[in-house]
Amino acid sequence: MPPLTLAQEAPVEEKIPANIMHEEIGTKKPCNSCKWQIADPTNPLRGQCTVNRNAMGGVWKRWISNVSDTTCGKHEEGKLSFREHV
Amino acid sequence: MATVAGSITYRGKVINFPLENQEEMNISDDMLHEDLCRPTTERTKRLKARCRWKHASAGEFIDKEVRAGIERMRLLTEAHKASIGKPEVIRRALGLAHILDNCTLVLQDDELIIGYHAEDPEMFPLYPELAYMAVQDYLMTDYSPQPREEAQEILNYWKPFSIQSKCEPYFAQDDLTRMYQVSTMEGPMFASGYNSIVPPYETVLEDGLLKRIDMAKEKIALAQAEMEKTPWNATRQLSQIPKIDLWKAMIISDEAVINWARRHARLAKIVAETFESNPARKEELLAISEICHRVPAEPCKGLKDAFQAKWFTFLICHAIDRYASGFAQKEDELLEPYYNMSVTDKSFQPMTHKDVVELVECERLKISEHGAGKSRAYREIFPGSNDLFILTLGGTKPGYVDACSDMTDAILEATRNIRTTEPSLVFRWDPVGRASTKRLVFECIRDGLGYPSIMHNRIGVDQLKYYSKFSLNQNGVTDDEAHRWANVLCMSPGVCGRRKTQKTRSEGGGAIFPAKLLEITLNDGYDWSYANMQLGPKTGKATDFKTFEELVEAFRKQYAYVLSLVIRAKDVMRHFEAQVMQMPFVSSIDDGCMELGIDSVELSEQPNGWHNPITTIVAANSLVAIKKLIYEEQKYTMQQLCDALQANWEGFEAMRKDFLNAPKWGNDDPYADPVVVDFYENLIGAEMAKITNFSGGPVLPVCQAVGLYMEVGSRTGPTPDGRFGGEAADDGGISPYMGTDKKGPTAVLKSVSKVQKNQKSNLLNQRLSVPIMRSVHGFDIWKSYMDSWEALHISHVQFNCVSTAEMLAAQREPEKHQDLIVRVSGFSARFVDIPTYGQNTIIARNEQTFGSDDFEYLNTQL
Repeated sequence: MPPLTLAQEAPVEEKIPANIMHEEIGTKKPCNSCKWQIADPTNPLRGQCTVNRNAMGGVWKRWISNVSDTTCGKHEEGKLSFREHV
Repeated sequence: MATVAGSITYRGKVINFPLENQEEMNISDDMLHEDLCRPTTERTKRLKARCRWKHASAGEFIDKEVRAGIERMRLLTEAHKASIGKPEVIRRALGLAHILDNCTLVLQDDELIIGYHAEDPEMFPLYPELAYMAVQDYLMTDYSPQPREEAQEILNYWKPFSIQSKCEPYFAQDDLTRMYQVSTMEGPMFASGYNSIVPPYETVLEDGLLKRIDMAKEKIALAQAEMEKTPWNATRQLSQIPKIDLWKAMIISDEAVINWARRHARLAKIVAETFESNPARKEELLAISEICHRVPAEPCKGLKDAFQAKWFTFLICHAIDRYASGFAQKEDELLEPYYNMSVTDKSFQPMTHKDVVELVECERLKISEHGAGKSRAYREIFPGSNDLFILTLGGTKPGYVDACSDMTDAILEATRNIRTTEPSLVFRWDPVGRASTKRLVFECIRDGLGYPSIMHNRIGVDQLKYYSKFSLNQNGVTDDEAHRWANVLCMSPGVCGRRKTQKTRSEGGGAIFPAKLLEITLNDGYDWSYANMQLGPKTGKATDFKTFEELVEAFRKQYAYVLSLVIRAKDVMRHFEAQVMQMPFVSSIDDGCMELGIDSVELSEQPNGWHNPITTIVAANSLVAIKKLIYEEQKYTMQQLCDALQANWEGFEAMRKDFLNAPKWGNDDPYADPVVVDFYENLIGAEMAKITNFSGGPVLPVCQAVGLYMEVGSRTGPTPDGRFGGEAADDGGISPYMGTDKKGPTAVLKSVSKVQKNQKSNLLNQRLSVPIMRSVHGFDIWKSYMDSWEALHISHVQFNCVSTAEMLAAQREPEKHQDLIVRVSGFSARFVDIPTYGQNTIIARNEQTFGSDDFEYLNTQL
């Protein structure tokens, strides 16, 4: 993994709202460390975001093609219990 | 205080519904299930208390002690490296032999049936020779095999040899990416390793493996003689080579299995003579030792022999040679001869009926403790349970003679008493089935186990006869053999017995998801709501569809693309399985493989093609709403619908209500039902029937759900049936969408019975009122319902009988509700081990009560 540089981060933040999932090579807040992320059912290099939830407990997932280099403004370190996933 | 159903007037009489067991009046609704577990003996009570459950949910194991073992993958790798240059089928046999000769044996207190498939009962084995992605996923978890570095090295070694690496080059990268997502279709077997099998247990119990070895030796001698004939004829004689290799591999495998069983015999004897201080247990261990020395080498002489030989065979076929889900067998007929020897005649291993019930409870707990090294996708889609372990009971013998026996009853009694989530049961319902056995079936359902699920016996028999016509070697099942069937997994009948059973999963089980397919049909094949990519062929913009029929035809193209891809993946895998994943042990116990010298993964005498549309009712209800509101009434335009869906209905609430309130399936509705029936018969079934699979037979739909209705629901955006994005899809293959069946249980039956053409078996999930089922009239009401269901020619039904009060209480205090079991879909689960998302889908199902109109229709005698 190449070291993260400010030059790589800055243009991305300018273009994409922070709360939208986006690719950011070398991010310090990758999806694979985020509590809302859960593994892809087949390919361990991919993942799924579960942050979209409704009041009734519905979970609307989004596919993450690269869990190491994708992030968003809702990133939170940790892991949820199985009860909070699908 | 328990709730009692209110009185009704029926045929001029006031009918009251007092509880059948008045003592239950003192048990509150929200604690009923914690009071129903009654293990038959102190032994099974202890075994249940210390059972190492291996339930998974959301891809994770519930019990944090559960983890993958390294022993099998290590031993298999050693054998593979040591056998370079030998024929592949011999390498497979040597691999099995090396595992069995060197694996750790597990012998636990109190057990009457012994044997485990990993080095520790908290563990399960992995299969790097199958899907490298599935094993890599394990290595990234807290339950990775240890040492992790060695496991990674083993995985790296196997990657080029793995079945996944063999298959992937025959698919475009786009197709692989789409398949692996599990949103419009199930991931391929070669990327998950998921599998199922129907082992021909009968030969092991009836012949014993020593006889099978002699048969193989005789075959080799004949083949050698054939090769030595003069004048040489290559077109006939060269074909003996792979046969000789296979028969040799059978001998290696069978000898290894006998030696492994006898290692268990020695272990039990050593423990008995050296360590055991309890005289009664010492005697039991010596008896176990004697049994394991004799079976599966020799034919079984009594019921204890049969349970033990069957268990050893199960472990080899489902876990040690390779992974396979399921527990498929016609268990009552398989064990009935041994029941008669031990209980009726008392000629060997004499015992009472109660002793048999205890043995069945022991077997159920062995299954509950069994660990499956299944991939993440399959740790997600059976939430709250272990794996799909399902056996079949009831039905008929040739001539439509009732197949129920005292063995059937013992299995049902044990099931009711011990209360475990696995194995699930299937009961083949036939008018000739005896009433006392049907009463026991009812008691299991009434007590909330969610099983037996009920299959229509005569539909199953007829299906096997139909598929037999397509047999590639003109040796499909006979009319008599068609009576001996069991569900392969949760829904599809398949033949049992000494020959012609399904050995691998290419025949069935590939899932296709119509809800998601409809979503992308409305977006020119593009998936905007989950993966943000083109997920299917470009079939045009929804706004350009001038008629409802144009929309349906676009859907048909999306469906046909996915269908062929899913079944191609199955058959490509089967092709490579026959080359590098042979199963010489399984071949040795199949009469056809033995006779013909063809490996069990290659030989397919009885076609049985079925695949699984899942989330079909969300798609069907959506089509009904679109047809009515856009194309007929023109209340909305397609553009407005697309805008509303893109907004997840936000800002379109009145419009959503219109779509939500459009006619729905399951209400015997004259508008909705014809649209839905046409969808099932002339699209879902008709397109599938165009396919010819590996076995040369047609493929028919088994619409069902398992936990995929949740997984796919969470990967599917809002749909035109009024559903929000991410909400669960329909929980059965042909069940009404949860909460939308508003006209009672008989309206559901009438709707479902209309779908008949081009179907194999569709899952009907129903939830019954607890106070009515536990009343003095419970059995009579249910029996009349079942008789009507049978007469309506519906293939399947399964029931939840659990109160909302109890499920809500379990959500609040899960630790107090460990025995609360619910039917999810095709399997039962411990309620508190299901994610909240899934729990809510079960609570939301309509609890069917019965009114006088229903009783009239069912002709219930009250």
